[in-house]
Amino acid sequence: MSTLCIWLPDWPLQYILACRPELYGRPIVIYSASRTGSRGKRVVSCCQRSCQAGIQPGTPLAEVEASWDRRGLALPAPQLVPRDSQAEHNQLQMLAEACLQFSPQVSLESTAEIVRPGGCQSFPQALLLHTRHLVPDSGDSQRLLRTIQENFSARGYQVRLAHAATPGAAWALAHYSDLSTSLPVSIPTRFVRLGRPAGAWRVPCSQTRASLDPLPVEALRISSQVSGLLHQLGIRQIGQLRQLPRQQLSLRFGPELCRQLDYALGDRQELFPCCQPSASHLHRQLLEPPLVSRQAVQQVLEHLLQQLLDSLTGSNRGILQLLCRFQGERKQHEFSLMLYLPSVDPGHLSSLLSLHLEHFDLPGQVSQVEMEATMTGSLERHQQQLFSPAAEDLSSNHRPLPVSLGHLLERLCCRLEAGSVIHPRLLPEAQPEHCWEHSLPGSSRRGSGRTLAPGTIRPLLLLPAPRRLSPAGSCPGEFPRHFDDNHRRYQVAHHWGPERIETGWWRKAAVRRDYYRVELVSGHRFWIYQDLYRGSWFLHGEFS
Amino acid sequence: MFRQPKTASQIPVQQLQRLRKRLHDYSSGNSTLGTTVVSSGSQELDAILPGGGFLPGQLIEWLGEGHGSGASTLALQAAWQQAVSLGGILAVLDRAELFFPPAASTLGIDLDRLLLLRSGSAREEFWALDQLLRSPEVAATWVSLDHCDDRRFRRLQLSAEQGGTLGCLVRSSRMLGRPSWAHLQLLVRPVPLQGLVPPGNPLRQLEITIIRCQGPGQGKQAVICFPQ
Repeated sequence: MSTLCIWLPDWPLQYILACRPELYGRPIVIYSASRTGSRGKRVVSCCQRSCQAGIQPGTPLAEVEASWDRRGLALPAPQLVPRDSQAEHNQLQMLAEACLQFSPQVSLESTAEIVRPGGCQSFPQALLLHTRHLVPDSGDSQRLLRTIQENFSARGYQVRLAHAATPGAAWALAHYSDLSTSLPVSIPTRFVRLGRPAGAWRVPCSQTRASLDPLPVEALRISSQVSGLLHQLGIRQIGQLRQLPRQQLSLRFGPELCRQLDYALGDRQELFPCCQPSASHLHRQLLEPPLVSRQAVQQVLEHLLQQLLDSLTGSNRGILQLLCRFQGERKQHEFSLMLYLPSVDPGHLSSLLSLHLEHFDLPGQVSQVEMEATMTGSLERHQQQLFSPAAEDLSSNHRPLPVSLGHLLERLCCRLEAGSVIHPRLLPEAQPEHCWEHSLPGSSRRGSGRTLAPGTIRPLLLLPAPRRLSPAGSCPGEFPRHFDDNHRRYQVAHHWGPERIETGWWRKAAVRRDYYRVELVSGHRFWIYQDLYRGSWFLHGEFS
Repeated sequence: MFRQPKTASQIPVQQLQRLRKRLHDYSSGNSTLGTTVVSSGSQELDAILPGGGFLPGQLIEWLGEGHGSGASTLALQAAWQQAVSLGGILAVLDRAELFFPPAASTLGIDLDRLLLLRSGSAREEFWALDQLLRSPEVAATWVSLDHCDDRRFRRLQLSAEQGGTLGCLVRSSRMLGRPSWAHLQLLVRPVPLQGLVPPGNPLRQLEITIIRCQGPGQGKQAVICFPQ
């Protein structure tokens, strides 16, 4: 036997519970934070209690929010948690590194979209340990399975383990084996019930084919299209597939099916990139006696930063995310810095730490400071100029490299509140309140989005909430000559419009408005509208 | 042998600009601003501005008479002209959270090059404004600024000069007559349309008066038209 597969079923849910243990006992729904086209936010994973309430992966989040109360359940409202796929991947990577104690070769499964029990998912949630020559007999194998299972339980994770001759077989057994054939495993009672309960399986080399035969064809890690086609033809188990002529399989279903079958049976060797143990970028300083002065803490941070930068020397990598933890008398306080570009510039990093520390609520007495580079990135190299550009060039068209813009953004993000630094992006939406969105500068969702039709005129300043006006001085059916607003009278000289905006019915807040540009006798211009449902007038913008 | 004096058409434009800049510096006592004169986006306004436009590193005060006066739009257009001419980004500080990016888009501003900051407090806003004016990556900064004491104003002026960033400060006309460290102070008044108004999008008229500037030009007026 050469491969051991560790599958963490419902990985997004398990990750959230490991990070936020206070959520144990509550219904949890994890949704994709990013919108994909017009499909909106959707559920990625949920606990069994939410499943019993009718929520499934793929359910629109809006439906969950709208229909929970109507279900008439005696459950508290579910905790809606956005999914952080990068953090999940980092954690899985960390677990892979932790598994290096069991095998020198540990791999993350590939990220190709495959069918698992519970749906079609493209994010990795299984580890493969190569164990050739490590477990010579069955007793060793069972001991290894038990040790790994206990190790993951201690970390708060439930796993399904399978030890088999090939990576394909181990993966198939871990994902699709029946619990009745599992080796005995102990699961702590505090763990939540998952869709696929934890278990462990061990299959000797000689029994690989026999153990795979009753498993469904999806256990071969094939795409949903191929498995759907096989189901249409009545082929549901690997055993049925093996009886068919290979040449016909290849012609009808493409090369993918035969290749995956060969991987599982061991007729073709499957290669995986192995995890490399990363150098530790964690540095800590014990403080005895504890520090109370902010300046002293700042000095300790600078000292740790220097150690961290020294450990990165020669790796051609820079800091992208920096986590600082402060041990107080009762609890730990922490903050993290996210950088726009990888950096090893001590001056810049030190100034960012200083900016952040200014507003950070430090514990009264700090007994330990830890600094960790939780994310690093490859450093970009630029060709240096032999001669510095002329002073005139600097002042005109030759601007410094965008690195300085990155540094500026990082300083602003560090000092100002979250969400204060915005890259505006237009949306295909007519209602002024919803026609643009915030996005982070430097994020992947760049681009100004849609463009407005030529000739469209919009006010430069839009009121956060439309202000009600009282029209006066007009006959019914005529445009009002005056508007009273908070003891102030606007005398209208000219108006242009209407521009009708009728939208928003799907938000359950439909609007039907006629917008006008008005010029007062003084020459000042405003953007007002009449709500056609109620006939009221509102001031919405200023052509300031 | 005597050299013949050159006629105006024979003198290169760059040389003329350099000489104009020196003359401006001598008259204003200022020698730290950039050399590239950038149009305000309006020929009528350029005609009355000292030097024929704005210089990188200048602080411009746009005093608007009440809400809806058009001063903010003019200031934003001038700031964008600076970003287009010199490269770099346009930063907008909007503590009141009123700035409406679609309007900037209709003015021809590329939102990919616009950075919007919505800081919570006046203190944070001043810090951010100072950082933006100091940054050579930022071509121009637009901000609606109410109160600013002398020391802070002076600091903003030095930051703008150091970073070569044009600072467009939109303020109320109530600030007229108050001490200012801006290089240029412009009063913007809307001009009401007279007579029969044509349908569609008639041009808007604004009257601009130079209240304060370094060098000649104080008191000059221009009326500019733009669609709004």
